[in-house]
Amino acid sequence: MDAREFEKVFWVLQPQLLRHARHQLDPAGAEDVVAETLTTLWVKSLPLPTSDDEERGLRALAYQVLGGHIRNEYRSRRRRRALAERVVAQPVDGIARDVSPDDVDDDGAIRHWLGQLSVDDREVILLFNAGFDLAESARILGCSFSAAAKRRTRARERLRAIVERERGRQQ
Amino acid sequence: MTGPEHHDDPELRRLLDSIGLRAGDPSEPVSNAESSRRAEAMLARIVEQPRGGDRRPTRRRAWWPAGRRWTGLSVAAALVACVLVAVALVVGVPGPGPQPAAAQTPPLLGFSLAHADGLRVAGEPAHASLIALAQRAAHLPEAPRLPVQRILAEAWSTSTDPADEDNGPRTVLVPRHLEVFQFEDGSRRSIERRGAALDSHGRVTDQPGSWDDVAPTTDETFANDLGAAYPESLPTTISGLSRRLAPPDACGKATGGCLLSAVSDLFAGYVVDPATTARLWQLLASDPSIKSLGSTTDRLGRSAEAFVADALDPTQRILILIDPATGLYLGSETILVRPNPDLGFRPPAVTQFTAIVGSTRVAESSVPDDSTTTHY
Repeated sequence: MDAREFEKVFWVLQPQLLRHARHQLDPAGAEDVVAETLTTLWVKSLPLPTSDDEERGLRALAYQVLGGHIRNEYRSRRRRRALAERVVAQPVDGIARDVSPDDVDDDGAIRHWLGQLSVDDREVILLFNAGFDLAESARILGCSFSAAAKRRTRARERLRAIVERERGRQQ
Repeated sequence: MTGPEHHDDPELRRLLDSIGLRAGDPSEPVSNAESSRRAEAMLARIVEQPRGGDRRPTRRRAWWPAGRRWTGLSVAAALVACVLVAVALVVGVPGPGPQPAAAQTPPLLGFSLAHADGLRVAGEPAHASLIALAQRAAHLPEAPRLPVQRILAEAWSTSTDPADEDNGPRTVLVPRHLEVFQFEDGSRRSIERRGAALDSHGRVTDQPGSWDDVAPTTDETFANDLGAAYPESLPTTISGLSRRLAPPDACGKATGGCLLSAVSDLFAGYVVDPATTARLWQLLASDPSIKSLGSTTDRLGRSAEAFVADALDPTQRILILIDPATGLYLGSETILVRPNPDLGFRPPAVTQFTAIVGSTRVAESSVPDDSTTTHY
């Protein structure tokens, strides 16, 4: 892809990747990882997709790379947090957890629900929400088709349990 | 570029709708003028990057927090995260705090056609061996036609701990004893017992004498979307079977690893009938990227033939073990063959193994009391 071709791809992928990342990171962090992801694609000098299959393949690759950057970001934050705790010798609070989904805006409510899932569960659910089928999700997650299927089923049931428990408590 | 098209799980779709997470729509405008400006700036910075040489950071704008540190790509973490999760010992997590332990991994098996130092590329053509095993497998006895499939397995796994944004993923290594019941209605119950946590130097400290003496660590029953008869529903042609188990768009060039991984998953969750087993070995024989490592003795002391291929994660290879006398599937292993920053192990190292202890059909009455299982 030359610069002009990459630009076309950028304007398609960037909003999708940003939306995906914002469900997992704060806005600034999401922009960081998306920028790094798209830079990776640019540096790789990939060919411009010429068929639907190739387009879906490129999109899957972008989400795969993004997943890696998001995990790196979590790891990096954990290190920074541990360092901060050593400096102040007391726990450093992360994001507020005791917030009702009714107390926040739509994005905040979604983050509230998804934030109670593990990184793995959240990832498989967001890939589904982004429109990836199981075969594509398996490729992005680096696992087999059947493993992806099992993982998605479990994630769905865990999310359901969280939602039902919390809504039951509010009633 | 196409956008989201597939929503093959209406139940999950409804659940996500109920929490306000609607399906991603690439045509949806996500940006206002400010974010459009940022996107344009992002694009400009990206295409400034030289290709194939040193690249400059893409950050350091006033509206981004300064001081972020970036590490390289970590796609491999996704693969590790697919392994069942357990929390025992943190390994290989650099940074402040106590020094990370270098967990002790199971010893490498010895292979007649490969030395441990050469596992990165080792392997001989496997076609003839696999065809011979397919012929033997076709004559395996059928499991009794009882309603519940039961699979027993011993395993060690490295895994990435599910973690939140604060804690991040953690790589762990634990011994596990697995008992899986696949019911006719499609539901699956998985009972897992875990061994004692490894000590701070990665040594096993208190292995149980018998797994029966260990209380289940997890006991879960959940819907298995693939159904109880998934192995029998697989395509009967080799090409169809290959497309199903290793979809080209999902596996890229790692078809051999994809196939071995899919085979491993199948046998870990189902009692696979002899005809399907034979067809699976024929399928593996048709893929030249799957190589033979020759004969070995597995973790349970059984004679085995080993077949290997590169995993989707390029730092690892996956191998399966088959009984040379009967063609019966015995288990699988994953071997780290190249350095991987997400794992605290030095290659070559076994990062996961599963040895099938038993695979048969049982009556409902043989299933343990389900009062303690957690239904999802």
